[in-house]
Amino acid sequence: MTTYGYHGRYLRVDLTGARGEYVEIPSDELRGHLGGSGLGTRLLLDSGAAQADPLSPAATIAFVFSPLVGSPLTTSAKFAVVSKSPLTERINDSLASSHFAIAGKKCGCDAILISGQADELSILVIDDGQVCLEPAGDLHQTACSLAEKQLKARFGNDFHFAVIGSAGENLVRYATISHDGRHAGRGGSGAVLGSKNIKAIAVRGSQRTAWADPDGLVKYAKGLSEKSFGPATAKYRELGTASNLLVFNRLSALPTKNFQQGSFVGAETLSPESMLQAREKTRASCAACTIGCEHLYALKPSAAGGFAQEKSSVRLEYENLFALGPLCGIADADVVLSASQRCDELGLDTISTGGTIAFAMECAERGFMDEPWLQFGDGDALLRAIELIAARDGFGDALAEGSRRLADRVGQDTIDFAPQVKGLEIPGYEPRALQTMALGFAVGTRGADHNRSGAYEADFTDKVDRRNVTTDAVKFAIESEDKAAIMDSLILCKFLRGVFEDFYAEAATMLRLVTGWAVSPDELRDTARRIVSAKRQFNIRAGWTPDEDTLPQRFLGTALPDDPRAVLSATRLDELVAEYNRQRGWAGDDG
Amino acid sequence: MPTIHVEFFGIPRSRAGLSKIELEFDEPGVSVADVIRRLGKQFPKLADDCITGSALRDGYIANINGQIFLRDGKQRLYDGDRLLLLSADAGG
Repeated sequence: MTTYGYHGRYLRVDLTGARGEYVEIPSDELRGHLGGSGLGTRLLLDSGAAQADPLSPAATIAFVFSPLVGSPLTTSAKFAVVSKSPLTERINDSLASSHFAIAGKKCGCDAILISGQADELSILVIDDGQVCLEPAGDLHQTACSLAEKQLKARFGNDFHFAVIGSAGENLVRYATISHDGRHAGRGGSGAVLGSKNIKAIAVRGSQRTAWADPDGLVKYAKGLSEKSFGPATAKYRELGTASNLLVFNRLSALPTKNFQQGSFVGAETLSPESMLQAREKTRASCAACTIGCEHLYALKPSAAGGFAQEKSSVRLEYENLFALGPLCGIADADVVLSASQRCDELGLDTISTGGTIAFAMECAERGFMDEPWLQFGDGDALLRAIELIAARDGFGDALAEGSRRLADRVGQDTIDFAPQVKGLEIPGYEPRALQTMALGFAVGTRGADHNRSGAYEADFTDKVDRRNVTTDAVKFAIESEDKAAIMDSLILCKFLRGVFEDFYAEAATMLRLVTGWAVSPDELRDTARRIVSAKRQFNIRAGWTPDEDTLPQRFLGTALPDDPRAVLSATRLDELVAEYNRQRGWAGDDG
Repeated sequence: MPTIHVEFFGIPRSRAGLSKIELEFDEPGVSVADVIRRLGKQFPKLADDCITGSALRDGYIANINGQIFLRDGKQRLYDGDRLLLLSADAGG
């Protein structure tokens, strides 16, 4: 029987034996988890990955596609990288957009599950489903963009690549996987690949899936593309995500100096509005995307502090900007752009990099560690720390472990202000000023996460009092998490969310046109809950306990210094989490 | 007579062509809708993309004094109030 949109199987790769085999995925498992994040979690649960050391040969890392990959639907060229995180030791699903998704699915599979370990630094080559390893010694410690360039020259343009930088090779716990210059960024999937001695994955394929209703799909896709040019995405097209900076600063929601403040005096100079006047900028799009949210800013060679610059421009997103700017007290746009570019080239998650360095800066400032060179506002220190982290050189070895492990090492209750939940550094949303988001961070299965929970959306409406939320806000956090579970499993870009008038109905339509399944909006709501539950189940098997669903002490009971009304008590957060569990139908300590 | 300070962010800033403006009104009892209507007349590009009549288009939202978000224009403003106009989507 033809399963439209799917191949109905995954490719299981054992690196130790350098072999691969297709494994059937039951149709009900596909329909019940869709693809991407949901299907990846299901497959990892079945493989026993939750119990394995994430950096051991026994660990499994999955590259998961979706039924929409390869379709004409805008933003659908996406894949999820799912594994147990070496940073959090909980579920990690990082999403990214690139031609790797399309080429990988054309290898005749809906996912690639990789376990084992290569004998030496290698390239995993998957050519239309045929698996082999090739030596990658010549790419040892090569920067991401250069590695991709060299791989293109070696394999040809019909291959597409996912690569790690030196951070991944050196097992930095928040290393990324890069492809087409974009990154599966959070949670350290690059270190998982590095632990397996895989520098790069090269994919090429010829196997396409059929669509149930090709004419209907093309017509729907055309309409969706037209809507994607509308006002709902104007912010992303014209200014990019970086335009959050001034808004958040104005609302005292911009994390500054390791979350010691909610606003930053240098915000105006770092804003895209200011930078547009000072430097050239170009726009770009992910593969198969009509929005074009990428904004690339010119780099000044002199700003790199003597470190290498592989490119003359750098992509700037709000999260890079906040983490490498205000969070570290840096107001120099050239430094932030250079730091961002170095993170991209070394393969470092910018949020965890900035968060860990900012935490260390505060520790140094308060005398908890003897690293006097690490000072808020010192651009040279930021750039130096980034290089040390990627190389695990000197103090960089401790920074490469992330803020939670660094706090454990420093002791003296510094864990109280380590900016993380479950070990994942907090993104650029101040929890005291955005308290629906605070709940989203606390209960997030991946840790502090603005992609698996967009609970901040409620904080930017009249539905809640963002600085004094009640349990009435819980339903918004759940709605956001459920919606994200579907978007991350279909997989579509979240910047489309404002385009849909009725998300579940339109998602059901897309799925029906591709797969032929008569999926209802209610079935998709059930699917969302199933996916969120599966992630929680993974975490329970990995050792999760209820006391992980909280925030660091810094955020509890003490007002944000620059906004005295922004207070979140520990009791209130406990009430929110308890109500969240009640509405999810979960007892606090089980799935 | 009330003076209302308007701050523009993101797309509203780019359409208005400035980051802030002070608006003086002759009568007390100014509403958010009154301010938005005035802005629409004063800034044609802002009117084209962000305003419909005396309300903001979908995708945009107002905030008073950094405190309260609102979608309708009935809320009364007082002398010295600051009205923020911004994109509704805060995704990053």
